[in-house]
Amino acid sequence: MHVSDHELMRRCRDGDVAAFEQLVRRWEGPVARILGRLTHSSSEVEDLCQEVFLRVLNACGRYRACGAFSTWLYRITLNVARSAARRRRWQWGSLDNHEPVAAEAAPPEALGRDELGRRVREALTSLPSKFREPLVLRHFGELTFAEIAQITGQPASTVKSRTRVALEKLRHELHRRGIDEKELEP
Amino acid sequence: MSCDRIQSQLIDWLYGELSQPEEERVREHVAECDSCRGKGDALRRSLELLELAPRAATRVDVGQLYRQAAARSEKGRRRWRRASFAACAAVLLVGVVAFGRLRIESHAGYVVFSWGGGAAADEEAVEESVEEVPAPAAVVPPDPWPTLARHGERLATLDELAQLLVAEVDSTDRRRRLDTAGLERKLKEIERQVARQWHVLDRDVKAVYQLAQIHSVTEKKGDRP
Repeated sequence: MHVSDHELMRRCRDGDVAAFEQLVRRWEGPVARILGRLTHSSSEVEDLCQEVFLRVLNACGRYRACGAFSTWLYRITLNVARSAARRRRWQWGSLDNHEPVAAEAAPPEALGRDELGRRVREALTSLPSKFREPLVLRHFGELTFAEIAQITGQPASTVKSRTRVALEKLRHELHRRGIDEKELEP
Repeated sequence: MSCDRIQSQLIDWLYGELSQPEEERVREHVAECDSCRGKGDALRRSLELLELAPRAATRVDVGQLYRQAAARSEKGRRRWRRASFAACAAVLLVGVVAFGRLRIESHAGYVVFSWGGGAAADEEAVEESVEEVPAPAAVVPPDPWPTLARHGERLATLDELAQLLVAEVDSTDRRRRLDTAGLERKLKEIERQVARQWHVLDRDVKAVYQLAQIHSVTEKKGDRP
């Protein structure tokens, strides 16, 4: 029987460990998918995922079942990713903002799948966060533009236009990294 | 419909967020307009490439989460207790300096603490009182009771404040203790669950082993002539 997220959160508040574990197993994949695209390093995804659910555990006493659980969870996820980005900027200063080395353009088929995936990830994480966040939440979090607007506090029209600009910038970045996406088979 | 309007709706169209009539309008326009079709195709290709970004597989350790939550709670409690003690000490120090007779003076590069004022201060006070009162017969000692009563009231207020602070510290401490106790209970519950699951698994393995033994014995009996 499928138990709703709100019901699981209510049980968590009452100290039901099994309910919390069920909630974690249900959402750890989607959260990791989003964190994997919002952060620069795949190695920190596990720690950040742990941090997200730690915040959920600490906040379950204050949780109110108004609106979708996913919206609330992804807002926490976004905050954790932003904090990590701030820490990284503080630690590394401008070292992260290096320009990518221009690579020779090649169709995606000419590159291995791993290499292609790596370059796509690099291109995605090189986008400014105000463009990357709505794109990742829409594409990997499968939220609607209205829900993303609720999470980020921006109007839905802004979210939509930023997602479109993010895709255009992504294409440009991929081209700089040597991926000629016009050659990609539909 | 204009190309600008269609192009602003392309992203909604690709994500299926348009209503049925709007979707049909965009589809019809894109079929006829090369410019809009080109932009739509470019956006779609970028979305397809996004799927190639590697997936991060992770598994959250729930037991570790509860341990971290307990540790954070304990850390917060310690920090709060230290801050409260520091505040109490500061209030007491200010009270003693302001209303008591502790004097802090600086003489030739040294800081001098004295209780009840130095001898020099007393002499100065006597001299001043002598200068102010010309005839010795007219010297009337000042009544110390109003000043003492005022100081007493202030000390009582300070005492009340300190007591309130201590009560607040105690109640926060109690709350934190309850939180920690709750988390410890949850940890114990996890341990019990693991032990239960381990017991069930152990029982199942033994049963399978016994079944296998019975099966092999039966087979051996069947092989005999």
